[in-house]
Amino acid sequence: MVPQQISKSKRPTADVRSGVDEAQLRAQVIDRSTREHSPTRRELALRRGMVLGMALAAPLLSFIVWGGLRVGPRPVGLVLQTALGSAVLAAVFIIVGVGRGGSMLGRPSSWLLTQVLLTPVCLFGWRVLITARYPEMMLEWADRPGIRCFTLSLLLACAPLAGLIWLRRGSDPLHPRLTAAAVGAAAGAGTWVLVDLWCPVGYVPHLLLGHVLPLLLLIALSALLGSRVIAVHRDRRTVTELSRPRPRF
Amino acid sequence: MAVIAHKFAQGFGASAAHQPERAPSRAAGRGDGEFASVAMERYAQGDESAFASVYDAVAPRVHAYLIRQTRDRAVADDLLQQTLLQIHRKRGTYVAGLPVLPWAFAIARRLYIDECRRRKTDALWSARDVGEDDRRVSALPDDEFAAREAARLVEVELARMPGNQRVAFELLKVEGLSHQEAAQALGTTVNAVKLRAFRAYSAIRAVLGCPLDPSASS
Repeated sequence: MVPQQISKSKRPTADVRSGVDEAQLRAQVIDRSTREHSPTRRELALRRGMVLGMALAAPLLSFIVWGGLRVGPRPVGLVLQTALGSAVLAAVFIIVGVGRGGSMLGRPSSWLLTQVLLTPVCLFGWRVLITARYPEMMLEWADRPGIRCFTLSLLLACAPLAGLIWLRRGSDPLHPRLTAAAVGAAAGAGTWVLVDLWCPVGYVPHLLLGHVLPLLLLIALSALLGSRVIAVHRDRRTVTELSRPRPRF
Repeated sequence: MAVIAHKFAQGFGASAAHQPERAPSRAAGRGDGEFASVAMERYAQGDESAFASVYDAVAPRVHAYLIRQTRDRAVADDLLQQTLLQIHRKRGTYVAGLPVLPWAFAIARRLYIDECRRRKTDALWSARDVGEDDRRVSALPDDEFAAREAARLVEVELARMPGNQRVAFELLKVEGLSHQEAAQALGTTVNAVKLRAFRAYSAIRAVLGCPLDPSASS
């Protein structure tokens, strides 16, 4: 049989290079989906529960090992006010930063940006505002520049950050950096509460170095990770025969 | 690109008697969206056979969008495959009742941008396509020639306008997405989508010499 020659004027599309036919493409995609397992909602909920459980347990255990709650010279009222206030703020920032806001594409970028900007400002502001009512607690502690708080903040945030980023991996096609930064801010807000309970120092430069700086670093690190981990990327493994153009006549 | 340009040229005034053509897929689009949501919900719950339904509801429109963007059927096939596989991999994250199409379009657009960055040859594709159009034009009758000329103008204008305006215009007028859905797919607000589409309309009308329709943005 002589192969049918297609004249130049009868090519199937005017401006589009040819690919495979629709049925073949459909069959190939469906076949590939059956060969590649993906978790159902129930399976994912189980995984998510395990990851979140570990992400919560790890910082709590580390916090206890590190010394747990230390009231020190602080009045109990100060401890309660700073801890409760920062816990409420952190809860709000975690809900905004981790939740998707009733959309498959996550929250709008304006929400995420607001959350990222407000997290350090509000938490720091709350701590300073409450501590300022106890002037003796605002004094400098010569032996506490903030290095230990800095280390503790980063240490406690590692597991939640890794867990939350893992849960959101490959899920954001719109603004992955911002989403990741919001996740980092949420993880940092959670650890801020624990560090608040541990650290009695209210000296502002100490707070900036030991509490705010690690939070900013977490946000920056998350934003860097976001473009690699949270973004939707082209998967080179799926480049098959489909991607090769059919020979032209 | 020539297909879309031709379609819009007919609507925008290749012939003065023609009224602007409403996207024919819009009514069907609503049905597709609901069908896709129902199928996706079944698929998220573990019904493996529902993926074929998801494919049937999503793939034709996303494929058409990708073909227009890439102007290369083979690349569009590949990106469609990857878009559907991304949806497959993330089926467990699907929340019942949420629209699937904006999600699919957003993934497809991201993969297309990735592809462009990888290849860095989109400018060459455009140049090739314009050349092929020019070769074909000479054999056409007068009316068709006029329409094609208008289509070429629209095509050039679409290629020239900022990407965000072009994509907003295509999602609304070709794919038939609602303003809300297009805003979700583009990760912006409804007002921003309206503004971008209005600017695209204005640019196209200007190049075709049509008076500006104040209701174009609605």
